[in-house]
Amino acid sequence: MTTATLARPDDRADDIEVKVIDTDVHVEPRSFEELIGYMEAPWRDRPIIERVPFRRAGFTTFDVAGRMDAYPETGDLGSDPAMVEKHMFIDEATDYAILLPFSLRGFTVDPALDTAMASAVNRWLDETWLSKYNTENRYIGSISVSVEDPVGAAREIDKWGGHPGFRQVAVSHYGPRPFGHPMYDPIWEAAARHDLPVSIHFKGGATQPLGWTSTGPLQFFVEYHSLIAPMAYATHMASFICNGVLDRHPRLQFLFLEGGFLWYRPFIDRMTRHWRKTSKEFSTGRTPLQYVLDHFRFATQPIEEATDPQHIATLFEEANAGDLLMFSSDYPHYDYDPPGKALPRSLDDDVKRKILAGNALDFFNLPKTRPADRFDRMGGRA
Amino acid sequence: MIIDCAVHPVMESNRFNQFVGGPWNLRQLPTLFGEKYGAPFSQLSVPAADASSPAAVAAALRAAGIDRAILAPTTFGYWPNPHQAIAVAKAANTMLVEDWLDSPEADARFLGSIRVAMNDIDAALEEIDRLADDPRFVQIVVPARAMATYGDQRFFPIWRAAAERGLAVFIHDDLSAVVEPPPTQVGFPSFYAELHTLRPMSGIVHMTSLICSGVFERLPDLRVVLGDVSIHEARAFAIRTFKDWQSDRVEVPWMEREPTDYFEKHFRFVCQPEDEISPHSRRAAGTLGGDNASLVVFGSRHPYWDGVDPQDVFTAWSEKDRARCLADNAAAFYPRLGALVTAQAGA
Repeated sequence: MTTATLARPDDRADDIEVKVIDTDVHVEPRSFEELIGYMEAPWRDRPIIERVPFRRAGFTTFDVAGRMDAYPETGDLGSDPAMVEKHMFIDEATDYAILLPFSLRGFTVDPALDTAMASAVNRWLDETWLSKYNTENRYIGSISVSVEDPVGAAREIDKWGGHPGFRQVAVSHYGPRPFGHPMYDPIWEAAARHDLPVSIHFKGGATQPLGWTSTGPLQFFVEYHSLIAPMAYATHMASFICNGVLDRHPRLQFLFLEGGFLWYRPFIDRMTRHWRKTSKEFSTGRTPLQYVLDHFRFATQPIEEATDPQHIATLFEEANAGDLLMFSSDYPHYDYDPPGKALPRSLDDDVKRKILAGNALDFFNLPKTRPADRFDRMGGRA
Repeated sequence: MIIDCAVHPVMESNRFNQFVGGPWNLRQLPTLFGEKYGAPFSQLSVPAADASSPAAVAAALRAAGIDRAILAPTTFGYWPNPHQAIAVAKAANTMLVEDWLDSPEADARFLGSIRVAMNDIDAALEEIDRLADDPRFVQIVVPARAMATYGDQRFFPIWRAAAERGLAVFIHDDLSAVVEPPPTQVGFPSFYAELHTLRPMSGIVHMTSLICSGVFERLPDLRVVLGDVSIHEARAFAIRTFKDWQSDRVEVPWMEREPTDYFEKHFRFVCQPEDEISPHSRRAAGTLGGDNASLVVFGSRHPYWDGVDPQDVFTAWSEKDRARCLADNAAAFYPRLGALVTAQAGA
């Protein structure tokens, strides 16, 4: 179903224009046990649940907190298809939801188990949200992989890379070295081979010293949630640039989720200021800013905001927000941003259109129109 | 009038070891910091002998039109043996007084920073007491790379002593010796270029930590200067923290004001070389969390390679705003500096 719609030429006269793409929607199995049914032997017969950590075990204040109205009567947050499609497509005018499944738990200390789990998540997503639950073809999948098993990750990307429902590779933010390190090359090579972009999402896991920084551990969730993702992304960005990943894969693009974006420009300015001097240790073909414009995109939620709309509009302009930003809601988590309220009002309409859909249409190579469907009618929009 | 808030004389190794004294002067000190990442070029902008010479440093500052310079020699990061850490801090301070502050060639141009060992709080307090009566010490200096974030209660007595004594706190990245955690929270980058780019992170972590842990509610007079973080980098993160705080504030109920308010009142940022090319730098006013022109102080970072010349500071700004960065902000922010500058103007 997904296959047919997304592959379809986008020039039918009665179709409607795609105006909102949500690049960060978390769906889950009803429970972890549901996932075990999708695991291959010998994994499904081994003790697993105890080995899979919840994502923020150290900071309990907001642990796995969801939007208050998004908890199903039974099953985990984000696991009820009827509720998710209502919140996504009927209550809001969202056209496509990019699914980043399995957000409630993190990866383990065993890379082989991680890949087995990622593989189960992909099979489960294919058989549920990308088919059975995808009645109107509004859901778009991500290939889940574990960065700590690059060879297994590449195998998983090769398995699903030709499936039109999977439009990106999804990794979590943490690795033992920054992501330009050659140890990760098999992942980026596999993504490039299938012409798939890669999204990087903030996620806890058993191998991470949670909240640890270059100068010791953070104490509060507010510090952790505001610093860890942007700091990791700045590190990966510098690493991709300096290690030649982007020169080897000139079409490969990355999307940083939940990390904001205002930070990238001053760090890239810092890298650029002495680039001729500092880049002598490696080969590089472009300026740091050009690498960013060509290869990196940022999701909006939780968007940086301020009380003075003109100030924030200027900062957005300085950071090329109109070209680099894509809307994301982080549904169904507690800090959900609805599409109608996510962007500063002071942005001009063209910039808003690109952030809400235009940039994501290009990034995921999606059709610019779709047929009007049941959700449009139920939402009073068709 | 130009006040230079970041000058980093390089302590000549043999002499420094004499000050450290036995048995802690066990190894040949590195002449420069950052030994895990050798830069692919010289890290000094002057010959090594000039970087260690009070006369040469004073001459260079004089030539650049700098009237007052706050010296913060680096001491090679975190020393795991606390006894050695105490000896190194004490040696740096004593050598700073004898060779630099008292230097006849310095013509009273130099001001000092008290270096303290962060792994022995009692010793740090003693060191502050030992030197704080000398009005030429205007700040304490602490490394940006630490074993814990500076909002942690273990450090509070140091901040309290600084606030009570009218000393600012200067957080400066000495890069590392060998024992600190990796320079990023996802491990070691491969190249110096990455390390240099990401260097502001540790200072940003401490800024966020001091704000969120309520240190400024308890010490309303505490002033912190970040040596390696541009105003633009700091602001990007302060805005993010402001956003998260709106939903997470229940967890930090002692924060009575918005994070950006603490940012504006308690922090100043030494100008960075990237300010020269940042589009953000064109605007002196009308920026979030306070005007840029009120939050930056000049620091040449002499004699290091990525220094800033006073002529290149925020060239798009009005003369009045540039003067704020070059002198007025520092004179108003460092509790001890105002009196010194006024005395000089009256003399």
